[in-house]
Amino acid sequence: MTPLLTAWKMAAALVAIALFQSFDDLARIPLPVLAVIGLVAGVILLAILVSLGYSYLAWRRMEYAITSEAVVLRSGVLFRRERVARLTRIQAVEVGQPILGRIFGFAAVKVESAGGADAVLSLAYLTQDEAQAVRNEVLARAAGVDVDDLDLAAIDAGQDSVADVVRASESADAAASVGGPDAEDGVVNRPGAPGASGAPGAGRDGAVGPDGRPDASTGLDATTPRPLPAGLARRLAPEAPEHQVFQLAPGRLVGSLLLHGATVVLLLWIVGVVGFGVFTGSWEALFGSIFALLGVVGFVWGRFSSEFNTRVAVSPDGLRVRAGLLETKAKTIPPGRVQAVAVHQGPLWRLAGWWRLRVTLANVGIGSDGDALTDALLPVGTREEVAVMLRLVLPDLHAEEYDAVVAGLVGSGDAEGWVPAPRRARWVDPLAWRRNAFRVLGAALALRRGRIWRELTFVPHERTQSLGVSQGPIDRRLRVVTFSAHTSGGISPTLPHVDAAVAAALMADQAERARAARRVAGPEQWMRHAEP
Amino acid sequence: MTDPASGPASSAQPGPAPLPEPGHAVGGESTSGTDPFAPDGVTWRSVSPRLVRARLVTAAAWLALPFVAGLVLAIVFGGWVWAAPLAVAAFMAWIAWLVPRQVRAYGYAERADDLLVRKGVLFRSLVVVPYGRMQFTDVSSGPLTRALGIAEVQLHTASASTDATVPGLEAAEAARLKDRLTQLGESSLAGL
Repeated sequence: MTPLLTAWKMAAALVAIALFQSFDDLARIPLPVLAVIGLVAGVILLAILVSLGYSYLAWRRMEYAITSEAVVLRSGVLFRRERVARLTRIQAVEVGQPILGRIFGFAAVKVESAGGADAVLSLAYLTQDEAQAVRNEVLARAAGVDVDDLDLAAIDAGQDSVADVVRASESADAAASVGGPDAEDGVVNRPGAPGASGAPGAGRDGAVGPDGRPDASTGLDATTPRPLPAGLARRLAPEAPEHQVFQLAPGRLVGSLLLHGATVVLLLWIVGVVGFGVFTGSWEALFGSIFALLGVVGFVWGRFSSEFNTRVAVSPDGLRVRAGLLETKAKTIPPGRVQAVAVHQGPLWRLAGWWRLRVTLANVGIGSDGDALTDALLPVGTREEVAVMLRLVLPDLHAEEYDAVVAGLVGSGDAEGWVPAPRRARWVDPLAWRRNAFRVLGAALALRRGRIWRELTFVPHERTQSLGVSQGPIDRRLRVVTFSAHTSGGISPTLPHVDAAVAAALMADQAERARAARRVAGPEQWMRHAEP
Repeated sequence: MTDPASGPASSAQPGPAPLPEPGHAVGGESTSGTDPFAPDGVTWRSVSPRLVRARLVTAAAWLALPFVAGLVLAIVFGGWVWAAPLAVAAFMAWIAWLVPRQVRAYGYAERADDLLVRKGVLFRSLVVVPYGRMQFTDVSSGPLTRALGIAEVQLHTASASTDATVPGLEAAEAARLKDRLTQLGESSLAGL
């Protein structure tokens, strides 16, 4: 099926190209129309066959493996490529289903690492079940729950003395069985191949405790060493239990898009152009701007289709975000991967009290939905929903800091501990100088900006990469600086007009806070908290 | 483009000084402790004065062509066309005045846990990079800077917006800094 799915895209592109070309040809070449159509059809058919053949080859040559250290993908027909994504560095795992994939039951798994839009290991296409299994296994292993961790789980269960003895023999056993047939690669699979080794999904129903993974691993009798079957890891990696916390109603999404700046601009534009056409009788302006209008329509449609039915759920694997109208995506963001959080509100959304919450991961530039750098965790939500989401993405946010967060969303001035720009900055920023402020929370640095377009940004202390201050000549006269916290993931929250002396103290304190937070930061394998 | 506040202040700055140079923020506002560009207890090191030469040569190479073209045209046509080479010459003079100030304004400091890099005279900026956040370090030099025996060290964190570049380091100092940064980065390595 994979070749068919891949070839379909290629064929569609070729058909489109062929159609464009044939318009010219039809106009110029004095051939019978039937012959031209036949020729074009023949070329397209040939192209489909060629791309099918190529896709088939590409699929034949593609194989992946999930080891306890990394996900490995080998691909390429002429130029072979082996990509290894280290499990500890995984930023998110996404299961995506294009429209055809939903019809035929296929899905792609994207393992996203830090380091740019290209830092994605894409397993396309797997059967739906296999994709789920791969997702679960990758997350389970990345969390630190895997074959090698059986002993750890046993220790957790309080079998210290026995487990110590067992550990040696069992890990030897595990190594032997996993490393047996396929050498050091673990289980080698061919995507979508029926009956691939490991029989994905087949063993998943067994040994799954009702409470999910930890139970499953301890449920497997760790005290009696026995040869572990090759598909063991899959049995250890059931889908982690999850609890849905947010669902976006279609009506609200439509409403939010109607109140979006782009829609308003679009409507004003259409009214203006049509009015211009009616009054002057010249419609050139309408035709001239049709592509720009289509662009806006495309943006709004893209938002609608990609954020349709957004659901956010909590699971031990992290946050699960599912969304999509035609093409669905289910993204899992493990704990501690959020680099920065931004909450926005435009002037029109204020009427409805809506906010948009986005998170930045360390992978820059993922997504073709316009939000190139960020993931909209909460495409549109109320203040209360924002608060819930904030508690999820910033687990260390204290309940008593809620008032400060609200002041960050809607407040201004120095209430709730916010530090706004000094009064002398009102000359250069008459509108927002009381809005532009920062506040140091226990877990993160919060920056508040904008009076008309409100924005609230959080940078967790342990995620701060570096800090910067800059100052132009006018700033210097006013003894203010622009402060910025650099985060991974491409955005750097910036706050203008901070009092110079305050900024000096903030730089020093923030560097120290970031240092302290990094020291106590949780382990990268988030299920290993129990490890001494 | 001249700033009355920074003009006299930076001319009070001592000229090219040997390394290491104990100093204050260029622009020398004496608000120590409250000036974010001059944190307390920081010993700044300046970059090699040879960077002035490198930058001036580069600028001259870029401006030579428009200058010569303008000169030729002026000689041919005369009159108001003389404004063109004169404008280029004035620009060159301004560059020649600006570059030494800019180079003097560059400074870096190695603290216990982080590296500070500052730059700029009129538009100042300062970056604080914790060693543990460093992803990789670049040491680069072009043909001209190599001939002058200087190199540029650039620190990269996981954030694309971290702009921590120290140009114009003596080759030996660049190597030392790179080694030290790598060593410190390893010992205080943190995840993303």
